[in-house]
Amino acid sequence: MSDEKKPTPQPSTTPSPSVKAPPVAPETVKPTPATKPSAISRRAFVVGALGASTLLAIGAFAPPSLPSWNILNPLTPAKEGPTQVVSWNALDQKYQNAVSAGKTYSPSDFSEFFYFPYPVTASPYYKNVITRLPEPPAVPTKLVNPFYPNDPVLSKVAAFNLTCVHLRCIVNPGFAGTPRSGEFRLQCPCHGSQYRLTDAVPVAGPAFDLGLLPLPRVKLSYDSATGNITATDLDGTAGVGRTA
Amino acid sequence: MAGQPSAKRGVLDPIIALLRWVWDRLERTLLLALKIVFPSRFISPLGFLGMLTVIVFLILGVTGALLLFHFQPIFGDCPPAAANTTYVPAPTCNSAFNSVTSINNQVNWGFLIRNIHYQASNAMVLLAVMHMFYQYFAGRYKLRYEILWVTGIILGVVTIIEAYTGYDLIFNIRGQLAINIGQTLTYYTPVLGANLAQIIFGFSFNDLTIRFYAFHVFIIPIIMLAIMSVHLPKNLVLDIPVASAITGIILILGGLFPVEVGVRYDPNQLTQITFPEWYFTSLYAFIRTQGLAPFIAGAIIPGVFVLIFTVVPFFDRGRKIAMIDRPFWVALGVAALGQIAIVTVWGFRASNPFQPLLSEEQLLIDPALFAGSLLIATALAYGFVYAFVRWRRAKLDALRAAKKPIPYRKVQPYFLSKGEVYSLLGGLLLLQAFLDLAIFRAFLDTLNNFALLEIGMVLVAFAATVHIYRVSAQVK
Repeated sequence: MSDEKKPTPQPSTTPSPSVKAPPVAPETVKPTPATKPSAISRRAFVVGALGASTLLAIGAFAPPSLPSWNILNPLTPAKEGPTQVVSWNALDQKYQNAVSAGKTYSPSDFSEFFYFPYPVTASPYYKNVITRLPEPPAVPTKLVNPFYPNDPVLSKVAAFNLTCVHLRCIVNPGFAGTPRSGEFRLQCPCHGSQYRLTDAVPVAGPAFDLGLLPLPRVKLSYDSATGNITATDLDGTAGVGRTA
Repeated sequence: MAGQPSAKRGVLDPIIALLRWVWDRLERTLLLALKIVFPSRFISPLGFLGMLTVIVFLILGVTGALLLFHFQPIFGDCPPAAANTTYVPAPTCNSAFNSVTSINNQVNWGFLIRNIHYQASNAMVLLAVMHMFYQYFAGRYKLRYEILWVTGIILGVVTIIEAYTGYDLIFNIRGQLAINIGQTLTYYTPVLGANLAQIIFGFSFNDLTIRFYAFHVFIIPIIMLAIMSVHLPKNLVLDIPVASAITGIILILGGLFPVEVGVRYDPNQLTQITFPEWYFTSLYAFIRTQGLAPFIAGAIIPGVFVLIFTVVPFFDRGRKIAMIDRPFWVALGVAALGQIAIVTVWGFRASNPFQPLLSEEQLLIDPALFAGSLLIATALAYGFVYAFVRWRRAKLDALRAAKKPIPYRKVQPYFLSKGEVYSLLGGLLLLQAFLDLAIFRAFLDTLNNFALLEIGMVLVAFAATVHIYRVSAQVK
């Protein structure tokens, strides 16, 4: 359709040779089949040989490399095993100091940050927080970690991965909804997603609007002999969230 | 030469002979197969915006190559603060940013080169977009231009990806925001997402830095050159004064608005509110719109926008290319321009455009306000332009029916007199001499902005000199 307008100036010079050429060509083509009665043409042989050798070459590497692009993928560092995170007494002392100074408004005053299960050198997306949950003298109702409701120590702390499930900013544990209402939240500084402090379920902002998953949870264990809290595992994927 | 055997042999004859020798041999190469026209009179630069984009690409290549000598593609180690101590960033933390800072502040000429590289990257994106829209309105996407058009669109997208990898390498908080968003969008790609995110972004930030370095300095430029070799038309226009003026303007902008290194990204410190580069604020506006999933906002919507432009030549089958004969397509183009403008401005704005953007709650955009402004602007732009083109068309048809001459607006060229030419050229030469002294002085006083500004002004003055020369040579 569109070709009709442009080529019109050209035909005055070019078509005559191209029209005359075909009568010559058949004469040269016709003799070749007579001199070549072979069962397989040269072209078919070359194509077949090339294809077969390529397939063989790919096949030699296929079993190990098919499931993933090994050469393109990064070397993933090994996960750290159970890591001692913080001493319970130190964390509790931090909280008591904040309460006596009248600073329960901001959970960052009684939190510790740690990188687990990968060190910060490996990825900043594995930054976690462990917070001492506020208690009645400072808030109306006691906050309890729903994953360890009966543990005397672990029911009083909460630990989550801090990579926002919206767009991977690092969440700030410094926000409390209304002062002294007991409504403590983790808030993302980038787009304002808010997560409940006790279980990290999105309660406001884009993560809530889009119905995204809660933040990954750090599984904890407490050793009463030494008084240390240990992180044992990360439940969920940083930047994506946890399904449980 | 051969026609004047009686002429004296000049000093330059051997050099001219050598040049002729080289020129004759060059005919065996690909170089002379390209028909590069050096116009002897002024023609509108809108017609060769693509060539200007190539020139800016070359500037980017040269300045980028110089920056390679001092940039360290390592993120390094950022140990968190030990218990009960205040955090002090380790010297190894964010080496990439530190090296950019040292390029900016300590490396000789580093400030100039970095500013030229930055402003040229902006100019390249802008020129590519302008080039695309000029070709669109000129109807040069159909009538056997289809492959040029489609490769051009791909080239534009790749250019923006190249710019994206570039400004992430600085590793300031702005680059980090872009990395976060890019990684999230890649992750939510259907089927391949998780694998693709690992391949492109790696696992750690050290992976990411070295990967983006490879993409930015080698892989994507090679891809761009490959696409360019298809996108390059046979006939090229290289207008030296305009190319010089564009280079000068880039330098002047670098001097007037020197790019800052930004706030250093440190995973142990809180993120601040920041915005992407201007060519991404449109996507950022969609991403910040309430209730729009990141993948839809950042990938599907822009993808559909680009796709519509890609397939335009296969739907506009008419054989007329004048704007007045294509009211629908012209109106569509203007509406698209309006959309880009509105969305880009929204990208910088808070949810309430009349309040300063200070708190996080301000970052979410109200979808009703956003979509409403977008729809109204698009509809108005489309409607007005469509009606205007149809009205012009009807007017011309009426004139033709009445067999009246169609009025053309003639531009009366202004010819300079001999005295004017001499005084202008002399003035420009004096200006250049003054600027040269000023540049020298600025370098002595390490006034980098001034130096950059004045080098740019010298280039613009050179462009003006050549332009005046050719305008005056045309008259007599």
